[in-house]
Amino acid sequence: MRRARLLLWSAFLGTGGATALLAWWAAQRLIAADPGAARLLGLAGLGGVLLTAFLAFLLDRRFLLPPQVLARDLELRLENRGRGPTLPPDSLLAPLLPALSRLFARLAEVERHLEGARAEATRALERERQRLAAILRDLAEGLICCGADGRIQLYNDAAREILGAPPGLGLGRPYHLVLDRLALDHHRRLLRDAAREGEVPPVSQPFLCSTAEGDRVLRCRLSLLQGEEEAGGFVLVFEDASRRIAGTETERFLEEMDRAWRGPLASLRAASEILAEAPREGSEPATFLLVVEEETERLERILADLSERARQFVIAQWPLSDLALADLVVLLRERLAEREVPLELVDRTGEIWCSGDSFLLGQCLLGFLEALARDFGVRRAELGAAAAERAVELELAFAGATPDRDWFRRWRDGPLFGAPGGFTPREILLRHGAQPWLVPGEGGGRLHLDLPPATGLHPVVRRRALPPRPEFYDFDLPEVDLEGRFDQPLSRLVAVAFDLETTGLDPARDEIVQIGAVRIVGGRLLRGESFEQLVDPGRPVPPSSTRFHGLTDAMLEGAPPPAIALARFKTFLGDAILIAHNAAFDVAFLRRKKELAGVRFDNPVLDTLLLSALLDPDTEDHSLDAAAARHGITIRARHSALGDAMATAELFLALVPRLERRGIDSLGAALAACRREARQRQRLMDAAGSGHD
Amino acid sequence: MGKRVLVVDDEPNIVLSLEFLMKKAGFEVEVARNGQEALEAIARQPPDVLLLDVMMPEMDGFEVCERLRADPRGRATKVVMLTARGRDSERQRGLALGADVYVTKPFSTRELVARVKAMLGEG
Repeated sequence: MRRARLLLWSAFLGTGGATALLAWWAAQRLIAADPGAARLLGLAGLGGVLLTAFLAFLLDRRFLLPPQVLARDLELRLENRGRGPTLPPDSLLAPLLPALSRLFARLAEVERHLEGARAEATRALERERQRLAAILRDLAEGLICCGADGRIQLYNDAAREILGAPPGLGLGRPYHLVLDRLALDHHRRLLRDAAREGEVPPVSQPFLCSTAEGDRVLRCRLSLLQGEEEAGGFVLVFEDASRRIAGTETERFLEEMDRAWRGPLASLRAASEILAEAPREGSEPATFLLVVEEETERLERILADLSERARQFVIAQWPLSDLALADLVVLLRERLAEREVPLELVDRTGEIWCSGDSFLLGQCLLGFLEALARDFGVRRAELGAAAAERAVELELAFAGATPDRDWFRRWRDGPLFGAPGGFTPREILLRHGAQPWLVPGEGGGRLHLDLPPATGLHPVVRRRALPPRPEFYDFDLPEVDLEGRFDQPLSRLVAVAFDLETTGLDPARDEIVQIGAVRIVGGRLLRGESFEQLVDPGRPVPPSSTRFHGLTDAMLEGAPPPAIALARFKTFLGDAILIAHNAAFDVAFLRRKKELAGVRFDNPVLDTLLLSALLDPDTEDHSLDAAAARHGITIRARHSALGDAMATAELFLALVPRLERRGIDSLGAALAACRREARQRQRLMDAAGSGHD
Repeated sequence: MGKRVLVVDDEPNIVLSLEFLMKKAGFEVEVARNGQEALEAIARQPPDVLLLDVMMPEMDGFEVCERLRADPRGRATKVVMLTARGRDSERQRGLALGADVYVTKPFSTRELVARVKAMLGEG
């Protein structure tokens, strides 16, 4: 535009100048002959120049200047300066002015709105942050969260206190400055392996780990962070176990007590048995001898019981978890290789599991093997195991050396590399309820350990499959508004999607065998908040229905009767909206039972089948399978009540945006739509029915 | 000549009973109060049966058993270990170190006598 104006004014100057020159030249020629005409010509020339100038001015002001002004105004607006269009009212672009002003006003409004929303979001974030901070502050356990790079991203006050405020503790600093890397990485690896095998985020059983300085022992639980951004990171929750673990007095006392009883008891029994055999006179001594014998026996039984309980108590003081001995061998081989110990370890443990702290047991055996290799040049050892009644017998056999008692004692009572709290192998094994002993053999020997048997608890707790984001964490739940519920937007509903499995299709005669349900809050499916209940129908389950849900009489044995199951379901449901696929069927079962269960299911009901039919009138098939497939939903356990309930919930959430586009955006509108659709389908079915007749 | 039994225990009352029972069963009985005395008795003449308490001060029964087995003359001796520890592992350990029978205190005297007789082929 600037160039156009330059051109215009150049053209004017050119034309004006030329006119003036021409007039001057003509006037020179004429001035002698006719001064009057020359003067006239001069005036005409001047007039022409003035006219051209005027035209050029007009052209510039009305055509060329306004776009430039507008462009400047817009630029200023974009830079958040200037208030609006400043076009002169007579410019050619003047008709744009009202629209432009509105546009500018709207822009300002949007900007204010955005600013407000941003401020609100910031406040909400800050509120959440503060609540989270409060929770972390009040947590008695220490908590440290680390990224994949091993740097601390978060820790709480308790962590600082329990760790003894070490100088290495700080945000962005590596965790191994404050925690023993060896033990922690061991358990991290176990978890990673478990996570690779299963899909769910695992959390470890408790284990012991010491601080980096080794002055405190912690009882820890570890869980891995999931999700793309956090993968490789972990959360460690811990408490101080130093006091509980450090003293061996309790263990010594219990063992002493056990042993102290046995000597006198043995003497007592032997003596009483000898007396019983001896010839005697009268019946009284015999009676009292019987008393002695009976009481001796009783003491023996008490002792046996106390003895076993004392052992269990000692074991329970330390966090132990199940561990496959074969895994222990793999672990030992790796550690031997890492530490460049030229010793081959043969696995003869079979499928046997024991209970123990895999890291500490590994360190004990590693220390033993290392000492064997170092002191005697042993190059090969075999780890074998046998399951006994109350213990797993572990045997480490080796050839090429016959270590003596003193050597064995040095290992047993000496310091152990990597052990928390400076524990010796003897102390660690004692806490496992195990005592090591060495059996020298011909040109070799065997190390014996008796470990507690596996408890059946897995080393890794497999949690129920939950989505990586915790849905049970929401500080911003929609408030339940009972009054204006019908105006509630569909996207903010508190609802429960449910499904029933039954003995048959007749609500009047058949009975519920399983209830599955899941909560939806504010447009989010809370997979973690689900309800699954088997029901004893009080009658045999017909094989025809077992074919569908797979539930048999045996599986339902011990399940609560319908009345109790329904009351529990009602508690789960509360006053949430009910959502079901082909709801009429399920709701008929619920409502028929109301007098039985003493609970009323008068919650509003939305039917995903009807809503689907409403949205896709040209589609025939509105079964759960078909409707789910159309919306890209995979049903994980079809015909299990919970699986179907989950699919129904997902289907509902997929339908909501489509309903909203149709103007059905509130609960009231959706209920009305369901009713309309139901009537229409009834008419269609009636018509089809009469047609068939 | 009758079979010889050596009773080793540091608790006098149980020694008294064992001595009585073994004599009554027709054996020749010698008594030792600790590991050292036991080794001395064994060195003089290894017995046919050794009734050996495990928990003794200074030298425990395991060590006595090990030393007995290390001596070629002691290989034939039958060893019955008596222990005040109720643990299965102790039994394993005793048997691994060369005991023939492992008995946890308290025990049935009748059974003990029967087992000793059986070991000596007199059952």
